[in-house]
Amino acid sequence: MSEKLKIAFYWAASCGGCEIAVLDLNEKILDVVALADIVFWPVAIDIKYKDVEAMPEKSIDITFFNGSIRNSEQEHMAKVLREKSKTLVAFGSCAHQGSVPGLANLNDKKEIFDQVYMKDLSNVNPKSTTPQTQTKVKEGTLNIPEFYDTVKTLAQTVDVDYYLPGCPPPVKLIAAAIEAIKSNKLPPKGSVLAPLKAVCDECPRKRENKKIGKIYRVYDKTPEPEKCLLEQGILCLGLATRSGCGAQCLNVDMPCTGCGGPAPNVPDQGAAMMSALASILGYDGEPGKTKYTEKEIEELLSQVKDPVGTFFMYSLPASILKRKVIKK
Amino acid sequence: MKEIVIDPITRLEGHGNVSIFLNDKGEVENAYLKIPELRGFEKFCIGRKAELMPQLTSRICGVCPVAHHFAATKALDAAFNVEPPSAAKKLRELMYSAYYIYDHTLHFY
Repeated sequence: MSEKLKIAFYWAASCGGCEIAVLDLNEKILDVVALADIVFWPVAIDIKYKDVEAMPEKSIDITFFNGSIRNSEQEHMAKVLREKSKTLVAFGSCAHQGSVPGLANLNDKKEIFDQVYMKDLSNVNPKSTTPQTQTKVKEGTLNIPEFYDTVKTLAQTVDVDYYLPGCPPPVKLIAAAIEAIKSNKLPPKGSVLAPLKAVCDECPRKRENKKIGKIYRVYDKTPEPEKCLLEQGILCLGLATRSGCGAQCLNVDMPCTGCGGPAPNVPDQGAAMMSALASILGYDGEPGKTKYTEKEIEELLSQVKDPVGTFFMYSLPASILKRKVIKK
Repeated sequence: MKEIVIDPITRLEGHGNVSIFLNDKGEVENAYLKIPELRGFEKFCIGRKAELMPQLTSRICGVCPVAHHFAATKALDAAFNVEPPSAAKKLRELMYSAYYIYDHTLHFY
């Protein structure tokens, strides 16, 4: 390769964990530096938005964009980086599916502001001040971005070329993506850069295809180490979730909560998990029973607490639900 | 009044920008730090399962998730009104100490 690639990293509504995942490449980060010049990375190098805005179109080879789109600044940067980049990668669960910040789609802007700036016990806010996009001060006007009612994924905002799933993406997936870039072997546009498997395919636990009658919270019991957690009644999203993580939560007796996003060929992760659960939920003592009364179904389903938070913890904005309806 | 904008402030975790206002003499009259970031954990954690809190709140900050994880874990101790056994306390301390080393190494480099 005669000329080094130009790479950018950016964070929108995120936690910084994706940045740490890049650093967790450890010595492999030297490959990245050997391969590419990093032209923009707010957490690590001092380049301003105006410098990025002044870059020529398509002058960045690859931008790794993490975080969901929560406010107007993030939307603006998504558009700027799309225009400046030949390839745009939605990096991590927030950019890919909306992730944990996307749970805010169960509320709107007003409800969030009320809680954060008024109701929270740590507040002293007698004038009920909330963030305004423009604030007049005696020296001039201060601007901050507009906070939107709805969290969006990167692909709901601009055209995205690839997706690196996970919260954060597992180091081996990042390393594989870097390797694919290096050897010019990236898959077709729109691909998710992770194995074509579900978490269950990487999980060492044994499934017996049995019904479950009782759902347990993780603190209710110590699971048997070799058996499928779902079949022990502990809600686990492994069936509906993309692999690449090596089922590491399952290896420490914790259920999958779904950070990898939808499994291959699953259009909606939460819906797929609910559908899977519906097919195995039943009276475990009566394996032949196929007909259930409404009351019995209600009784079985009522064991699932907070279904939205459980099945859509990482995917609400990308799901068919998207958000709770805003009543005007 | 002349305004110097530093946007974004870099090499730290989080989002922010600074406006510095200069008077006619070119001296700093006033400066403002603006935080353009809010996700709303305070709201969307309400209604979720209690035992999910260590996982949810560790997404407040991916640079210091362990601190948030333990804050939520201690809140759960209080909510369930339990005293963790000595082994659990030691494990937590070990985890925190390891994280302390990791985090300092990270900032050093």
